[in-house]
Amino acid sequence: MCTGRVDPALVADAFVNGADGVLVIGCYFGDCHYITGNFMAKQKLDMAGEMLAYAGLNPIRLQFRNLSSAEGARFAQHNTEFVGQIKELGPLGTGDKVGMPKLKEQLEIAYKALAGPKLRWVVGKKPVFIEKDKGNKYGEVFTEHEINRTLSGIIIDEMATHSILTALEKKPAAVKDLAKDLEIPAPETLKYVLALKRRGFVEMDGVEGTSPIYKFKPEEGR
Amino acid sequence: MGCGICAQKCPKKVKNEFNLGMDKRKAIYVPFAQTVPLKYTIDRKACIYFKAIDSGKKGKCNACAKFCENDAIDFEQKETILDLNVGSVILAPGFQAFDPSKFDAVYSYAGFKNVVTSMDFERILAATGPTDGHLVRPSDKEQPKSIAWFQCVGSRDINRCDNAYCSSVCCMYAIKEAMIAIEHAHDPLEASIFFMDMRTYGKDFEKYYNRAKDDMGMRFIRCRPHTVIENEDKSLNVRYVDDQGNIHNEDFDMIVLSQGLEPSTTAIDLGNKMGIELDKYNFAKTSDFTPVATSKPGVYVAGCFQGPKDIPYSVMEASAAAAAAAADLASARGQLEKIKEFPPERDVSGEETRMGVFVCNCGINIGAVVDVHAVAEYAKTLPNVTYVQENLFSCSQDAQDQLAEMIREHNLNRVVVAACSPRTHEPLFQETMSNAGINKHLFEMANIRDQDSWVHSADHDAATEKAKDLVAMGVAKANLRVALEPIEVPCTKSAMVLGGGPAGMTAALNIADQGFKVYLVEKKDVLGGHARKMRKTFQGDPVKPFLDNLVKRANDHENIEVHLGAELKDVSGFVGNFHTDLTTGASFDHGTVIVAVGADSTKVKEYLYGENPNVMKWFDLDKKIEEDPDSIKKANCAVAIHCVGSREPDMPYCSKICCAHAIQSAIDLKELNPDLDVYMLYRDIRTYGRLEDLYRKARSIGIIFIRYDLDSKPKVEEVGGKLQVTVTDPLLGRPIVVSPDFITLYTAIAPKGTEELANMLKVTLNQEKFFLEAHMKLRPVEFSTDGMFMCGLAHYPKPLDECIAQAQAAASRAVTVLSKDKVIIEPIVAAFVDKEACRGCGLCVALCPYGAIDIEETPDGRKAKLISASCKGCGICAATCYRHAISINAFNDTQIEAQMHAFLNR
Amino acid sequence: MAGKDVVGSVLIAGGGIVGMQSALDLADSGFYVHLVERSPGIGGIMAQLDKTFPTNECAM
Repeated sequence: MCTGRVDPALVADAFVNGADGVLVIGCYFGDCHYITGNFMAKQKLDMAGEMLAYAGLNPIRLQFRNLSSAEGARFAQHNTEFVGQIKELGPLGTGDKVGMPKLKEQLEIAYKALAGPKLRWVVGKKPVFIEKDKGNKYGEVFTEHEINRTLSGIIIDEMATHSILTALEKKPAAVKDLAKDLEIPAPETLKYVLALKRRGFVEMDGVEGTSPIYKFKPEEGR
Repeated sequence: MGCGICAQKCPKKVKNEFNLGMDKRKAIYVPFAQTVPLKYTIDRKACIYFKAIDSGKKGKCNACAKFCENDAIDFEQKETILDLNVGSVILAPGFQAFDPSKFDAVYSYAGFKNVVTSMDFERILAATGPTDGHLVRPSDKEQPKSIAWFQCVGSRDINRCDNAYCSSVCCMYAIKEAMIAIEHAHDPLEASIFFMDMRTYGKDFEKYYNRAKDDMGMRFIRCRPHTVIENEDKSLNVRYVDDQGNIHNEDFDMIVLSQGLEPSTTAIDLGNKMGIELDKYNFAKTSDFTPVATSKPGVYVAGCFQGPKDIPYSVMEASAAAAAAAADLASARGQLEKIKEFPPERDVSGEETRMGVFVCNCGINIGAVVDVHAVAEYAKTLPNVTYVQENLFSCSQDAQDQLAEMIREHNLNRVVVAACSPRTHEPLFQETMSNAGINKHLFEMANIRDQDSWVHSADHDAATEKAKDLVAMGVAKANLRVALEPIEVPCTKSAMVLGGGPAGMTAALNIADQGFKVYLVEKKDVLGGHARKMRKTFQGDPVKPFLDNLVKRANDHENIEVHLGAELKDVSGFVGNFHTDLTTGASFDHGTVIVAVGADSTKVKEYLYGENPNVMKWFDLDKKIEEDPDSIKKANCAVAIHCVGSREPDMPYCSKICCAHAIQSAIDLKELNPDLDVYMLYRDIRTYGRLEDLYRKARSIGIIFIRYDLDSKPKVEEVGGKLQVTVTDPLLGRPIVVSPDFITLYTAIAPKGTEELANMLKVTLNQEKFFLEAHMKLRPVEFSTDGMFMCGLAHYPKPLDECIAQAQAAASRAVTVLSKDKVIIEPIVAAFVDKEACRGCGLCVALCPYGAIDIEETPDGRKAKLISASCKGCGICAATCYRHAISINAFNDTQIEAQMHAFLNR
Repeated sequence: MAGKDVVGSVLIAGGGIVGMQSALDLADSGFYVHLVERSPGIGGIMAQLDKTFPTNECAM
């Protein structure tokens, strides 16, 4: 087992269940017992960090650090320092961009996005996309910056998409109401809703005035 | 138990030799925290009790025995002499670091506090060292701002000591120490290395040197400083003359003496006792053809007692010696092997969960900090816990017996032991599970000692609460544990060796001698490889008879099938189960692969090569010496240019063997014609180890060495039909012009065709396209894919003796696979949790560091195919899979989440 | 060497990195190993090293 095993969804799960901080400690880069595991962990945790911060979490609460197994004293140092930082910040919801209980809802949405296929696929492909002589199916190699920019875009899309789905799961709504509740511009909201409709995740539930009402479509119906 | 109470109570402190005497340990001690066995031992010479006994008085003190809760101290223990009948002996006594205090007038080691040895410095840098890894100078515990390393202390020196050889490792470790020191330092640290030749000749060494020089700003000063004076503030004044002849006076906060490696006195004793021949430096004498065989049959040697060397080559020789011994003893394989037997396991899958929790006091290790009783009471409230017990020492034999008894009596089907670390004790408890007829994976450990009582000894209440957390988490995980069986796959007991040079043949012959079938595949129509062009080894032995014998044995061996003129067409499979098709149409199954495809000399486009017939490559000169000695006797002047192509931006590595080869050939030239002027144009002379003898001899017989830098390479021209070489001598600072009869170019050695091969075998190459080993230090002949090994020049350029040792090592590692009927894998590997969900996207295939996942077509579509035999259980696939189809046995998402929830919701 | 007189065990003098590797190889290939070390624990000099070149990996 390796930090490469740390699933971004597990990290989100910890916060959803009330953890005030998550510290992942892996081997030094180039010193990984499993060759590339710590590198993979960093890719995933960087992405998870960005996602959770976007959801409202103070980025201090998730950290990735490096140590060797022979550095007991330094392990303690890292922990003490991390715990100190988190204590200073206070419990989840204080010192974060969003307060409780809203933060918990946001984190639950982030969890869904991190467990979902899209982000996992792209962050999984990232090491291949940026590796010399590999790249995508057509042999195009990307810079890390390019992939990260794509990932940032997907994070925004996924957060919006899962927020809409979660809201519609609770009760059917019109685009303009969704947009207001979720603080996403109406044209954007419409775009996401239509995409979800195309993929069969939501369906029309009637019309209110001139606005169509959308509802969540359970998995069995898709 | 290794609890350490005895050492706490022991009143006697002595110098701690592990930290070179820079701090103290007790008279009862463990040498260092990671040693095996982790058991305390009494230093008889320091112990108050034994000191009294040994001087004929009554023993007093007994503190350790008084406080030991487990009566583990027995002052009556006597030395016992064992009489062992063994089939073979391997000597691996290692080295001792040269002690510079013997030459105090020169090195001031003992006199000046801030002059330390390199071993001292290793401990100063180490997190477990006397300064907890803080870089401070000994005199005032302040961080040094400047450190100088003095190279070749006790090496390459016949004036001050008798160690004329090069210690082979000091250049690299000095750079390493300087790098780590710079990284550790809070303020800028100036690192200066005083050296004679920078010998960074190994794999990836030159790049390391370049990084130190170019990126980290280390200073490399080519000279031996002559005087060191201690200033009033205990800093050190160094006087030296640089290679332009300028005198410098410079202050350093610290000096590190890069001490050489020498055979230890105990090693020499051991060698003499064994009756083996030692060389003039007291290393074990070996032949270049049998690098790990001593002069006495059946006695082998490996590591630094064979000659100074670094860790990977020591590890190679270790495996090589094992291979040599195993070939002798092949007929007795398995004769004395001990196999443990266990009762049949009870199937618990249909049972209701009945969990036993055993909370350990570990003497007072846990008990004095954690309220063990409260933890046990708490455990009773946890889901499915039906039995709870407190133990004084859970690991003691009677506690183990009782654990098995309780499993049977209470029909337990899950066990949690809250005690120490699974790292040291999990196997013991798992064995007890097996003895009690329960699958060992139904066991879980909660580490309430190392992770709790030891680190929170100041806060008993918090420690007790944390122990409860850990137990709750252990129970949560144990509730979801299932029985797992070891994974067994059949093993084809044969090897394929690619490459019919000396490395390939040696590997093939050793495996064949050990009784296994070998398919030896050579691209050319003849065995022998580049060695066919070699005249002699560096020790001077003719190669031809050795090689002819090797070829004959390979061709005649009943276990070897030679395939000449054959290349790989396709290789499929995994450890124990490979299948290969050759271009010749032949095909076979095999259990392992050894890659020994060699390397080639590179093309040259400079120094008039190809334009003037008197500009040659190295083997052309060797041929000339052999076939046309008269032309040499008539010649007046010969030039050799080193590093042609090597150590240049395009090929930033050292080809390792050219220096010694060039010098050996130069000596031959000079011996054929003592009047011949022989010029060696070099950058650094890298005659490491005992090859230094060749260099010293060359200089003593008047071979002229002129150094050049990369920015002022020698110029070769044709002037009036004659060759003319111009080179700038850095010592004189002006150009020297010579007109040689012939010039020899020592061209770089580069891998050839490794990329295609790597693709076919699905293995990785380093930047220079040499094959990449699984671990630079500890797994030097293995690919990261199981069952695949490498040796010879395809790994990196190296002399014949090292190729042979590496080939034997590869054979040894291959036989660890072939000697078993099955490949047995612990089941902590990737497994499907939802195979239906898998779409065969291949993401896990691309990211798996071990090539342990493939894609297969199934009736349900494309699916990942898990090759458990190659899986190491890192879990990258599990964290990646976007369909959540794959996970790691015993560490799946549900289990990890259950542990987290148990902690967060307590 | 051949025949039934061959003893399937090897004595290894030295419990450093070399002795340990030899011992593991032989034990994994079906031979009985007596690993003899002068000091109270195995590990040897490598355990005293901080990091190792050229990867700066921890020696432990």
